[in-house]
Amino acid sequence: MVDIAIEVTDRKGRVSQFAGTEGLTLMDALRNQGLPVAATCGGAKSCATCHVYIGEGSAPVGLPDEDEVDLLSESDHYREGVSRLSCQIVLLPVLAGLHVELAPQD
Amino acid sequence: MTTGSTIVIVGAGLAGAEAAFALRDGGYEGRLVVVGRESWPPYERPPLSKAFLQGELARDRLWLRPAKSYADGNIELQLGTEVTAIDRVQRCVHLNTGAALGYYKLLLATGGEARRLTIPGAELVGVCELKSLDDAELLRAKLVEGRQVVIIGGGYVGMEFAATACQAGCQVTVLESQDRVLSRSLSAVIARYLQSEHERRGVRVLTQSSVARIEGAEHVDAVVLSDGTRLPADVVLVSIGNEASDALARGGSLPVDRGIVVDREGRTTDPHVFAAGDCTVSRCEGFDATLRLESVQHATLQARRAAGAMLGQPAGRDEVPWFWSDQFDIKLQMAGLPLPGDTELVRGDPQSGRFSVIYQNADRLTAIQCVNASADFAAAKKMIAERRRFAVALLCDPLVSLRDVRSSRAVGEPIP
Repeated sequence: MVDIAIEVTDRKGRVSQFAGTEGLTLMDALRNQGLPVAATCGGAKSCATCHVYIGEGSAPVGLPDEDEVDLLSESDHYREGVSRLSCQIVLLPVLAGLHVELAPQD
Repeated sequence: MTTGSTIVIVGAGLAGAEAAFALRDGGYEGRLVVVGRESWPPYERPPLSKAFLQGELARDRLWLRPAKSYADGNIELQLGTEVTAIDRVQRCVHLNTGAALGYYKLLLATGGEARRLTIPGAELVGVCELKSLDDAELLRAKLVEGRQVVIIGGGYVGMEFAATACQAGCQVTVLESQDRVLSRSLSAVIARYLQSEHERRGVRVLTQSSVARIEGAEHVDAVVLSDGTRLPADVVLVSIGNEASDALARGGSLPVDRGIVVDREGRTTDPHVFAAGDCTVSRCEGFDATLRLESVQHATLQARRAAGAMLGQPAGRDEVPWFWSDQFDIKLQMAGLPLPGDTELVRGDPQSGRFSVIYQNADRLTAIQCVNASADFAAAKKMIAERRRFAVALLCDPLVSLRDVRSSRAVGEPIP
């Protein structure tokens, strides 16, 4: 298990850095940091309250599947190619240096 | 008894924890105590019948917040402690430790308890319920390949447990007293689909069955139905719903109607006492009786609202109630509350494994229940919030997305 360096911009534009534990989801890591991620369904891919934007030039987090796109694309704050549900991103060493921004709440 | 400005929260579940953090976020700086009966810090219950039971999720992944966040927020957790009574005159709660805690405001977030069976044999070893983390840990050890599992009650917990036990290689039978599973809240079209999907994967579902007794010497051996059928069982799960934990409120002479009666901001009739989550009932538009909504979304919303009301802050906007359930690879997502007499519209072909049931009446679209149709779910939540009708022909056309239905100018034609 290694720690993965993550940089996050909150909804007030404040930037912070922290280390997320490998194997956790990004949602868990953000919540453990005390960041305001509602994540109402706890990662069951049934809401879009853990919506984040992946920073440009950030590590490769992969593409959302169809269900995830269906939930995200109904958000008023959806940005194609940038929006992800943080519950669907598992922290792996390859993601070191990940930069994410918390999307506004619908 | 000094009450000072202390806020006491009874119940360290989702609603209790959510309210505590909402109070701090809302600017409350006084003493804040959360009393929990279980020894665990506040945790997520939904995975208990799914990922946790399957062993995919370790215990420490269930905590709602990391331990340090309570210390950081100056939130006192008194775990493994039971509140035995409320004294509304002295404004204090009595604890099973013999101590009393004074309060200025009190939040009851006591949740619910699994309803008990009252038939012979219900007390045998191996007859379980699934409500708490301890229950789930006990059951997890019993889900061994080849075991005979009998589930009494085909509600959400029963059906989720059936799927998990089946995936663990157990021989699973679900006993349901009604003519279909999930009859209380789910469209018959979806309930039948779900039943057939369970059956296709090897779960036996016996509807309209009545359980007479459970047999065994010390440990359960079998479940016997009223028609004499004897079902051998190594494990029995009783999942016949929950009852609101409202005994403290009743003892404190607060209005109770199968749950603590509250307004939309969690107020009881006592200005110093609030309640939130599964222990509450409240009025919902269009319904004569008070309703008890048992869901993560409702508990979260009500906890935040109650916290706001305690601090004298205005209530936020309304939220469309929503709920989900995962069974095998089937994702059920529900939003809104169907009203009695609503027209039920089926959108998409159930055979395709991706469809929705929409409820609409003369005034508005009230609810949707989706099977593997997240786009319908997400779009319909907004349509329900708009409180209007939509064209039936478009709603029933799966080739037109609900997003397009919502933005189209076609209005719902009047019901003949």
